[in-house]
Amino acid sequence: MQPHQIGFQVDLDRCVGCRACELACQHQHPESLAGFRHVERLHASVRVQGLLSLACNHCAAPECMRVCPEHCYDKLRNGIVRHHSESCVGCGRCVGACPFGAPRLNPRTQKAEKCDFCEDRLTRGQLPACVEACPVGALQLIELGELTEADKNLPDYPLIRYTQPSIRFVPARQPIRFLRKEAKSNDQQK
Amino acid sequence: MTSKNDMEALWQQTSLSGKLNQAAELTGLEFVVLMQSGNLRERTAGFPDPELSLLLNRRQALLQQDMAPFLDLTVRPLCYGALQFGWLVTAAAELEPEAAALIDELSCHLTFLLWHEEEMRQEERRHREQFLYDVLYHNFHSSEEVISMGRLWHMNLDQPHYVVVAEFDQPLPGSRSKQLIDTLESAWRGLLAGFFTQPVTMQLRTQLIMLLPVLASTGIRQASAPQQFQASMDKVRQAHPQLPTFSLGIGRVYPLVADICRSLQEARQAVSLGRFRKAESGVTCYDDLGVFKLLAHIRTEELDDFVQETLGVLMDYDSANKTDFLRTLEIFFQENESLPQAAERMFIHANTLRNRLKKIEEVLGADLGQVDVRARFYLACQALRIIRRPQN
Repeated sequence: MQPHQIGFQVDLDRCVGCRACELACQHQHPESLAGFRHVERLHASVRVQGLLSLACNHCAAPECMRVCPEHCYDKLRNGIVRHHSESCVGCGRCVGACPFGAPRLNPRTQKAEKCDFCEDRLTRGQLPACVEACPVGALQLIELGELTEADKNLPDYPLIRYTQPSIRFVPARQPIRFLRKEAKSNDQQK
Repeated sequence: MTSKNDMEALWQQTSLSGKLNQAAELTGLEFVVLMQSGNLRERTAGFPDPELSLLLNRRQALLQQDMAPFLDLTVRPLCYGALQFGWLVTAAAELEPEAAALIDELSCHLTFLLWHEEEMRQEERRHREQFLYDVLYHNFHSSEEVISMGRLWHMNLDQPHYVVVAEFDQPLPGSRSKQLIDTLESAWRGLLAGFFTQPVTMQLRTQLIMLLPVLASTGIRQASAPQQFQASMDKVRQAHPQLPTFSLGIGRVYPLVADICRSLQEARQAVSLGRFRKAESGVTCYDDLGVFKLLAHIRTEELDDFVQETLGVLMDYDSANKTDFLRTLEIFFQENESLPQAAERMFIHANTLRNRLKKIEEVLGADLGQVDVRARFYLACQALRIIRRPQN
C-alpha cells in the first residue's frame, strides 16, 4: 500500500523571510498562543543562506503518536497527524519527543497543540492558510509519493531518519556575484 | 453460424463453471481455463488428463507465449487490453466455424468474469488495507467500533497484539521493489500460517507490517520472540535466496487496540535503530534497544563531540601506535565485560586482554573499575556505533 501523504515544500531560494506564513497561521488559529508556524534563520555555520519556515511535518512514523499515553494523536488517510485536545492531559511527552518541537504546551489551556494542516480549509478545497499567504510561493503543499529518508537539509538526528518527516526543501542557489570591472588606467586611455 | 439461442444460453450462465459446461454441451468439446500463473482454474469433467498434464508441466512455455508444445490444442488467451487473465484451452486442434465463433464468444465472457473477479479482489484488498491503516495509525473514534469491524475481516482485535516490521536493509531499485516485497509478504504469510489461523500482514510503503495476536496456542511468546523470529527469518532466507537481506523490528505487546499504533512505531524504531547494532539481517525487540532509545534523540554532532572528548585520547593513541585498543574496549563492553568471552572473540588469551585493559586505563587516565567511569565509556562506545553508520 502506498498511503496518501501530503506535506509541505519550502523553497529556500524564494523565501524572503516576510513571515506572512507565521501571521496567517496565527490568524487561522487564534486560540493558539503564537500560531504553529515559525520562520527561523538557518544556522550561522551553514554556508547556504536562507530562512526555514517550519511547523508540524506530519511524519510518516510520528513519535508524538507513540509516546502519548492518552491516545490523543491519530493519522488520517491523507497523512495528516491530528491532535485531539479534548483528551490531552498536558503531560508534555509529545513536546519532548518530537525532534522538530512541533507540539507545544499552551500555558492558558495547559494542553499540547500543534499544526493540523488547516484540515477544515482542506476539506473546503482551500489551501492551508500559510501556503495561501506566502506572497512568493516559497511554501507549497505537495503530494509525497515514495517516502525516502529525511531530507539532507534537516538537522542530523538518528531519530529524524526514522520518523520520516513529510517536508521537502528546495535548496537555495549560491548567490551570483557581479564584480565591478576595473576602470581603464589613464595610460591606456591616452 | 452460431445460433442466437446458443449465445443466449451462454449469457444465462453467470459462473465460470456454468459457462464452460454450457459451451461443452453446445459444442461437444471439453474446456479448461488456466490462470495467469499457468495454474488450473476450472475444467469440464471430460477434459483429458494427458493434455491437462501437458499444460501444467509446460506452463513456462505457455507463459512465454511459446505455443509449439500445444499444437494439438486450441489455446485462446483471455486478455483485455494489455491485461492478461489466463487462457482458455480446448482439446482439439481444428474447430468447426460454428464452434470457433462460440469459443470466441466464450472467451469474451470468461475474460469479463476474470476481470471482474480481479477487480473485486483488488477492491477488497484496498478496503482491508484502509481498515488496517486506520488500526495502525489510531484513526478511529471508539475501540468497540474497530473491534466489531475487525470481526468482519476475521481479526480478533480484542486480544493483545504486537507488531513486527520487516524492511530490506538496502534501498531497492524501483522496478523490482514491488515484486520483492510481494515475495517477502507471501513468504512470511506462509510461515505465519503455521502459527496463526489468519495472520494479518500488510505492505506499507517499503515495509512489511505483521500484526500478530498473543495466543497461548501459537507457541510464539514475546519473551522468546527474537529467537523465534530469527529462526523464521532463516527459513525465509533459505526458501527465497534471491531476496535481499532484511531486518525485523518487534514492538511491545499491548492489550488494547488503541495501542497498536504504539507497537507499530516501536517496531519501526526497533528495525531502524537495530541497524546500529547489526547492519544486516538483524532481529531487534524494542525492549532491547536500551540506551539507543536515548541516544537517538541527540544530534549526531553532539554525539561526535561526546565521543571525541571521551575516547579521543584512545583514538589518537591507536592511530599513533597502530594499536587496536578502541576495538578491544568495544568488544569488552559488547561481551558484557566478560574477559574469557571477549578474549575468545578476539582470538587472544584472557591475560593478554587483561593487560590491554590496563594499558587502556593508563591511556585514558581512568579507572574502569568504577561504575560511573564504565558507564561513560560504555555510552561513548554506543554513540560511536551511531556515528560510524554511514548515512543513506
